[in-house]
Amino acid sequence: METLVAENVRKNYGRHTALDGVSFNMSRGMILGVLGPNGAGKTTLIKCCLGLLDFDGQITIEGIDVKTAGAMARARIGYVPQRTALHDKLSIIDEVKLIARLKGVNDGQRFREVLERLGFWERRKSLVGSLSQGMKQKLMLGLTLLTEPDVLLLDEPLSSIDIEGQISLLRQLEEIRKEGKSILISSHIVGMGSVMDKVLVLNKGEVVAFGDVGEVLGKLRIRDKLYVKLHQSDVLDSRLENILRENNVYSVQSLEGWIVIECDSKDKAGLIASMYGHGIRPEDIVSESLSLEKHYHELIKG
Amino acid sequence: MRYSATLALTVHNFLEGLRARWVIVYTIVFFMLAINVPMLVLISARYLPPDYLEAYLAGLMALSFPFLPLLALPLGATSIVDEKENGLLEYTLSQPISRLSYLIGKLAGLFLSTTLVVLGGYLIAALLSYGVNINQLTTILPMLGAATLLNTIMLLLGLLLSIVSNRKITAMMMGIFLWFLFTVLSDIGSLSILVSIAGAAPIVLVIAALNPVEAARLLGVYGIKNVGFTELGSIGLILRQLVGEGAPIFILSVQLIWVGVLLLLCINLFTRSEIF
Repeated sequence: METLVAENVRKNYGRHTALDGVSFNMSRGMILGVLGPNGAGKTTLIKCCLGLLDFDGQITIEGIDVKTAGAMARARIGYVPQRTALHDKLSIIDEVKLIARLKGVNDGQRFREVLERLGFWERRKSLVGSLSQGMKQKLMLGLTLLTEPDVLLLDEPLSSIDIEGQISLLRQLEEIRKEGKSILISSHIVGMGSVMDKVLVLNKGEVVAFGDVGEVLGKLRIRDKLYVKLHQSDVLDSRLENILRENNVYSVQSLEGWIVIECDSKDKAGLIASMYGHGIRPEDIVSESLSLEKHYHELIKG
Repeated sequence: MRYSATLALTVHNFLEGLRARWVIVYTIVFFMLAINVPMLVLISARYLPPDYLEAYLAGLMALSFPFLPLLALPLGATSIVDEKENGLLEYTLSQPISRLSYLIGKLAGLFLSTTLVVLGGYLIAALLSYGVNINQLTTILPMLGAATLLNTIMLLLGLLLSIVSNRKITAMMMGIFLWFLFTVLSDIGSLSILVSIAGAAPIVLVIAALNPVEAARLLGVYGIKNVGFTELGSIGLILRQLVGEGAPIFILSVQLIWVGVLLLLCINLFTRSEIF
């Protein structure tokens, strides 16, 4: 069963074409990553899915057309915008009550469940304005769960939160997916690749690639960089060469006392474990989070 | 349209309206204006005749009505565009509500909060300061009605500016310009027209129709029993001459047309607008 279907979606802002014949679909429990450089049309696509913009073509949520029955379709959607937009002068509990009533929920027990799940219950009387960006985003994600939406639309969810917040969010998305909800995420951060099932790559409003995450990201040659600072004796150790040979490593470079290893994101933990397994104790390890931006041209060129 | 969502937005906007700093400051200033401290001294010293209230009401309307738009016009003009700027409009409309629900909730909430300030200000001043009892309240009803209508028109005008603007500062500037136009420029303009085109009095009908502030004042003044020519003013006198006893009905109809046209424009433009 398809939860979200977009067919030949076109959107123009005057003479500028923001979306040009975009088609894709999402099945239940799928996490779809919408990737693309700035101005590719990611946010426009999400706003079309919400019925906030006029467009040509058709988008349906659980079979409901967002153009002809916008409010009904939005009842099936949970949305977290890129910019945290909450009422700063309201208390957390009042914000939850307001959004709940807009969603048609008036169940005090449900408010409590959601706030407890997010860890906000103890500070429910604090003002929303007193929360950090990451906490506000967490609250907005929680607000989507007041109902049981079929589809979650998250616009650049990792852009304004710290690493701790990102890890927490990814864990929550995994939990939400297990409940059978479909999640559409627009993002330019590679780390999201670990939770995505499919990827839709946009460039200047056109679909450049749509398919399984491994297949599409493989074409982009997106790899993580692991910076490992070793004791001098370990650098010359043949054990290290064996470890690198045994693991799926693309390149190794030496840089002012550090070894820079290029590998797939999923292989990083295994590589580090392998080092410790062979008795090598690095002084420091840094993992670089790569932006997709610089890799798009490779895919766009085909 | 889901009524529970509209009601939730109405309550939220009502409370937000009362919490707004501008409304709090305005309420204090407006209440002081309505009480009119020097007048209060004269009343307490019994320097005024027993029927001073009716005579005084015309003066109070001339004094306070030009300032009434300063409550609803800026509040309405900044309401929607402020939410556009901080992303709240996009987030609210991403919920399962219609644009109409949102607009009605916004309008009803702001209408209730501003009307409470206006009517509350006049009523409390009447009851506390002028010793008006319940039986005398009918005397001030025309003024309260005219004030409510004017407040509604200004709120709708403000909302319209807010819908068509993309920046809060632009909406605010346009709102202040309109206030200036209705209170200062139109007075100068109408007087110069009357002087220059003596004999073409029907133009007064147009002037009265196009200026809701002056029209509201006239509507209130027509409600006073023994109103003099000084209270009516030049436009009021000509209007009475042209329309006769139907002058209050004419003014009331014009005010209601303002409300209807502005409401339709707000609904039409907002429900068709795109949320960027």
